[in-house]
Amino acid sequence: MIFLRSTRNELIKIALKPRSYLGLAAITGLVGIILFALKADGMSMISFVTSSFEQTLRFEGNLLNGNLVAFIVLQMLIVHIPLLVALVTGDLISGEAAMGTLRLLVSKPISRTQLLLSKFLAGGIYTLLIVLWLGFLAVIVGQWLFGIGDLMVLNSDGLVILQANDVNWRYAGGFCVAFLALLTVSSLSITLSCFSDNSIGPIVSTMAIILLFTIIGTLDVPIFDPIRPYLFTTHMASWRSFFEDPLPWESIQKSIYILLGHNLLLIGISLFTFHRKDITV
Amino acid sequence: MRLILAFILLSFGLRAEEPTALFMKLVKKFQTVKSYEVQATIKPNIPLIRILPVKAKVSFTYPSNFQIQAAGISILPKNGFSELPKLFGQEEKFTAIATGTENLQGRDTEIITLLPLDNEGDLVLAKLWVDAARLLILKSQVTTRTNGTLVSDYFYGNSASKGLPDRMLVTVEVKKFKIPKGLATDINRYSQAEDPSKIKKKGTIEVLFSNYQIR
Amino acid sequence: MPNSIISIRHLAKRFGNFEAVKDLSLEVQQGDVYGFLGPNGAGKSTTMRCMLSLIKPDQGDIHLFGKDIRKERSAILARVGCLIEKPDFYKFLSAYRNLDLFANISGKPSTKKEIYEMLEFVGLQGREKDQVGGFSHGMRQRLGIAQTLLHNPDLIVLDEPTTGLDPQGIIDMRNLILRLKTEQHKTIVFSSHNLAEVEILCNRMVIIHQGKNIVEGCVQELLNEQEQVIRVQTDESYLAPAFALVQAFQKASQFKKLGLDGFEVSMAKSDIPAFNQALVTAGIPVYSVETKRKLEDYFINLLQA
Repeated sequence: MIFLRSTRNELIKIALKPRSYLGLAAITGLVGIILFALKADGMSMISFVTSSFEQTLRFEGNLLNGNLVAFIVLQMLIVHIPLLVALVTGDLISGEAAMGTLRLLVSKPISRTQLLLSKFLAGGIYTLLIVLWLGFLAVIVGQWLFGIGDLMVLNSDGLVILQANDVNWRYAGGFCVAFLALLTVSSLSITLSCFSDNSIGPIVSTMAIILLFTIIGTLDVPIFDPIRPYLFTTHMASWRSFFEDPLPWESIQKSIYILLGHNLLLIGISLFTFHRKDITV
Repeated sequence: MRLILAFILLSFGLRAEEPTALFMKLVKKFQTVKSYEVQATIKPNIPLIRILPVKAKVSFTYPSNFQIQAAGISILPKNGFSELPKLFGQEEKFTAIATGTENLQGRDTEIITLLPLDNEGDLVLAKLWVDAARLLILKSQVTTRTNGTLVSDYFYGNSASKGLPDRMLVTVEVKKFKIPKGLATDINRYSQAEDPSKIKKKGTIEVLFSNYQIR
Repeated sequence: MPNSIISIRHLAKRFGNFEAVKDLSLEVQQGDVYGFLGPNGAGKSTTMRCMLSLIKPDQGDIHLFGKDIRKERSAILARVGCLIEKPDFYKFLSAYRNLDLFANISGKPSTKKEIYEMLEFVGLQGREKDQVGGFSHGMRQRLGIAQTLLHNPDLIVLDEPTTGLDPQGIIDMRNLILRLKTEQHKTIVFSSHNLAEVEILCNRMVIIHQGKNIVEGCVQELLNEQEQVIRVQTDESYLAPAFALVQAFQKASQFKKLGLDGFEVSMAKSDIPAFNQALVTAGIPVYSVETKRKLEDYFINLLQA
């Protein structure tokens, strides 16, 4: 019961903290700009993809539809969302320490485990809201502005054209995996937050780790080959796998397991650290 | 010797008239259908593109106006279905010559090669495999400056009398297809894409026509 | 011990190479107003934080209400209200919302009415919906007290509660502690730099220096063990006879002139009336006799020792 009350507290704090709306506002602004740009000149962007095919073929139908717009929006923004998530979740412990409220919280009759898990849960709910908001703007507003149609996706092994009635479940699955990836970012930032007594450190460290892992993941250096499949950043784009045909289910499952594993590991590290942490500030 | 030479020239002269006549008969047959609507199922089988068959409604208006209405995205040859109608609409711009015979779909066909009279047009060369007995084109090979070579096979059924196929198989060359890597979005894929040398150089688009509504 | 509210035995805590607390033991009884005295860095806050499980001790046992804080932390902390160091709150939230959030995890959630009443009790009525970011230090301190008392705890732990307050705020805080002691019979533990404050408010105290418990006991008993210094104001012309009298009065010592017309002299508390009587008998006009607070001297002597 006290755990649920603590989670409610955390959600209230997130809801009433101006910083929490920065992410939502940033997403709204960025999606707005992308939608405007696509509305104004989307076809020329598509022609970059289709030009070599159009030497001998012709694409009939509404290529620039809501489903493609949503896909482009997600593709462009999903790399920026971790920063927006970390801005709030990276502050959940260290922000309390910096404000001096952590000593009040920890001197209350809630166990540190419950307190920390309530913060993880609240961070997860915030992350979910960010993903849902992005999904609403990308898919719902995208479809409203551009209509519904078949989705043309460019993969490294060719074009995949998915029928409109085959797309929605893929978005649902894709969003679930994207949420899991962002939840890992949330967990990482909260974990780093346990080690710090200032707000900025965990946020910057989270982004630094994501950047480092992404570079390791994209560098074509054989020495990194054994670790690359296990970096969580490698699986941050796994939501895209839902837009391949045939569906690479094994690869998706592997990503889900690795991301879940990361989350459990990070929660474990956080609990261990937070339990041993002396609240001296 | 003179007699033999005269025979040869006469033979070519005679044969030179036959393909033109045959082509003109085809044009005439084509002109009998001024407009129609037909349900089409388009099944592309093209390397580097994965797409499910798409149902569409194809509307034709003489001489070469095709409109395709599909619920989603469909892939067609660059000029759609208008390659042959365009040829039929400019019959005076070609010289038709006979270039042999071939058995196709179990039937004997005459091969008519169409050569443009001027060098300015888009058409470079067209070859038609014509079932002279039924006055049907069973195969065409059209080479244009802009689209390269497009080979189409035609299969006929109930609407053969109007020269309208039930099935059409278009073969397209795809060797110039390129995936713009910078725009490919699955950047985190660590499984390798197919070896480019193993990718087929040709693809097909199969179109099944049904329920012609001729007006 | 049946009435022991806090029992600390052989507490030790080290931060790196710094030994913050060394083998510290103390006992707080029910109803005590217990003072933690000591210079900066003595280990007062560390001890308090250990009591509240903010810091894990390296050694020693801490029992509150007869229970081990390590084993029954939640049950214990549900009966404790605390204000450690600065009264820090969520600046972007209102006073009401801050209290509501802390009450939610205090073991006994409070109703809106209870929160409003508590805010009125500490003098913050009318400011319930204002953001704490706009509060003065004194207002935040009062909000801190409200947070401490809201769930009606049996033990109140206050770490330097008057630091940073203006004179009126200090008086209000002292009165509040006295009210909690006399009206609600709460057990209160507080640390302070202000020796007079401890002397006025506390019935028991501990003096901590370099992490060690130097002395612990009843404030009055500890002070009575010491000689008192009294300050007497007379006329300038009577200073010489007064000095002669001090020399003759065998129980007084350490005569010291104070300005032009006063002097200071040490003696046991019980001898002060007789000395005063002797002055009057000798015809020396006595305008005032005032006992100088001894805790300061006692504290300094102890630390120097």
